[in-house]
Amino acid sequence: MAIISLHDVTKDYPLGKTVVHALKGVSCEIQRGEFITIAGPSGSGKSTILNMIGCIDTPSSGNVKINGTDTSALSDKSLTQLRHQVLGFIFQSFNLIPVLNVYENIEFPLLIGKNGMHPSEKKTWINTLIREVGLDSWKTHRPSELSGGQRQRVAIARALATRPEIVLADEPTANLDSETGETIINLMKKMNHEFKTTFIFSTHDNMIVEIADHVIRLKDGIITENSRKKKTGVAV
Amino acid sequence: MIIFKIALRNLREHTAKTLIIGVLIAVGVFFLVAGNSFMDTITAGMRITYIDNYTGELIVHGKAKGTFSLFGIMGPEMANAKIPEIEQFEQLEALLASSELVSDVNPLATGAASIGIGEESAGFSFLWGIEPSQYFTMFPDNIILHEGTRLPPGEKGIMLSQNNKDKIREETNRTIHAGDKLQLSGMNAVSGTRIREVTVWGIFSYRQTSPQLERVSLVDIKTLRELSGMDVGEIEEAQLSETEQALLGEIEENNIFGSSLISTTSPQNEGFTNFETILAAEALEITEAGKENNAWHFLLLKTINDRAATEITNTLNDYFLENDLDLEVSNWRWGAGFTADMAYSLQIVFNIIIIVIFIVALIVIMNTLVISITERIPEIGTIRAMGGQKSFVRLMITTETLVITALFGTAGVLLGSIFIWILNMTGIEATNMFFRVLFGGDVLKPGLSANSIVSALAAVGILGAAASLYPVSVALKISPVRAMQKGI
Repeated sequence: MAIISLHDVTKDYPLGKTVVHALKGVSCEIQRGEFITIAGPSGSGKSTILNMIGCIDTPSSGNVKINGTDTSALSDKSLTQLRHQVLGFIFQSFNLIPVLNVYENIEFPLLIGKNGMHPSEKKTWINTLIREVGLDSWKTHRPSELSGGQRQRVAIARALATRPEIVLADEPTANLDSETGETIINLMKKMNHEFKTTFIFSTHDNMIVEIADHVIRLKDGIITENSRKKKTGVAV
Repeated sequence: MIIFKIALRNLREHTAKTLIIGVLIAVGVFFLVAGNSFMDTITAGMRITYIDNYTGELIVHGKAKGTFSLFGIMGPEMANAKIPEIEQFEQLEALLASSELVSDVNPLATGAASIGIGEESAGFSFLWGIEPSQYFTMFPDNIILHEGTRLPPGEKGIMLSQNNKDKIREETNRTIHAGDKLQLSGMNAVSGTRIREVTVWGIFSYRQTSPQLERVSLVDIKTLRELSGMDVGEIEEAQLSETEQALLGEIEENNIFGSSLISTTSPQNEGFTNFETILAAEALEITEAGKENNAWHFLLLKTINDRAATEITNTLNDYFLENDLDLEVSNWRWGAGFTADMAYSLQIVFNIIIIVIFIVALIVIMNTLVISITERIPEIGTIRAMGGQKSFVRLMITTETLVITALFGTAGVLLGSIFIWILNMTGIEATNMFFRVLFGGDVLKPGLSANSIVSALAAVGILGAAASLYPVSVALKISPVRAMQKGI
């Protein structure tokens, strides 16, 4: 069973007296453990589709299923719980909590909801994540003391803190130079392999698209390409 | 824990906003603590002073239109109205005296009289008519005797207040001493003007005084009843000396209503040429019961504790209702009259001012918090996106508000406490009559009251919670999708 499936999803935004059709009947499936990119130019609907998958926005019509659960049937509380347990987020602008240091930012998702981790296990896990993203010596630094690449590393570690099944990254390299961007994508790929976490990231950078196992291309709210590399699946 | 950490660090990061809100809170709390401590000192001191020395905890009295207290009738009704006497006084006194909840019972009547020495006017005095044995049992230590003795039980006479003595000296240039005689002229709507000559038994001051109390002298109850017309009823012939009999001649009942007394001649022409003669004529005592008149205006009660006071009040009110008595029970504040009213009115005015300050503070704090929330939309959106429930966001914002109110509230309490401590060391001098009434003397040494601290912290807690309501509602409306829209 696909971990995520979208069926005929549309999203309309009112813009003054007109309506913008951000998604026009999108359907696709994403398998567990995939490293998938949603590519397309600005305004193609990449962020909108990520918002739907991330349960932070609702479709105007159609449905989104996560692990077979139709998210449109869930209450705000249940959706929030689902986000906490199943999803991790990496944002374009990092969105770290400015008053918390690296360790605390990574720990934060574990403190805002229920998790079965013992405090000592939690500490070990956070330190593991910090080591994995290469920020061992930056643990006590605040976000304002870090470079863009370092901040995005913190964001990756934070997204993985709750051991989610899916990590969503909205243009994670957009605010980074190309070299750092590539490093970040490689780090995400490494995490995908190590933790078997499904990574879905949006980008308009064709160089980065090449690294993904599965590519969904969008244009004007419609999927124009949905292909998997041969080693992980069959091209559609 | 993480919420406290975020709250404290956010407050430190946004110093300007923290200071705007914090200073407002600290100033408000400072005024609350200092002001309420000041007012509490006044009212607590006044309460103890009055209960212990002048009013007892409860006062039973009749119902009447107009404002009256132990100091008599106040306001426009002063000239004509009469303070009602206590109905079924003896039964009531016996009932209360037998109660285990009542530690002491003392009757009192109030009145006023002009003072004269010979034919010379010498001022005015409020009078409390007392039964000395009962009065000084209930209030054994409320006066300082400057000369003479206390009014002995069963004797007629006056204990003159030092203030009245001073006024007499100002008016007549004469100094009154114990043993001197004074003429008291009472005027009332019932029996007109009455004049009584009384012996001054002693000169005294109340230990804790006020301009109202200073003018009260103590007289035996019989004299007061006569002066204030509380004895109107049956006519009783006075026991006159032989000289007085000779002066007046034999008065026959028929002659009283005979045409000889209906004359166009003035009293002087009839031989009432000197003051002693008028006094003698006035000596025709009029009493209600003939031998024992038990007319009193008030029954002062001391109870074993505050709870007993409430219980006695309820019991008495039921008793009055059942027995169809036109009586009521009031507390010491009622008895203290103008002085207590003024202190409590001032406290009300002070609290109104504080409420206005707090409303302004509430609006300023609320706006500042809303601005802060608006600046933190991506942060809150991110928390929601990562799986933070609305309850977490609510707790986070409320905690930040409560932390700031607690920190600066404590600072306000400390400042207010230090201020009161300094005032306690230096004392506040009453510079005019208004403050003398309020302070109950020339100097007030305010003490820090626990009530003022508790009420200030409660007020600031409510302020913090109320101020965070709207900002929290704004924060809860932030959708997690906002995390995607703008970076932190």
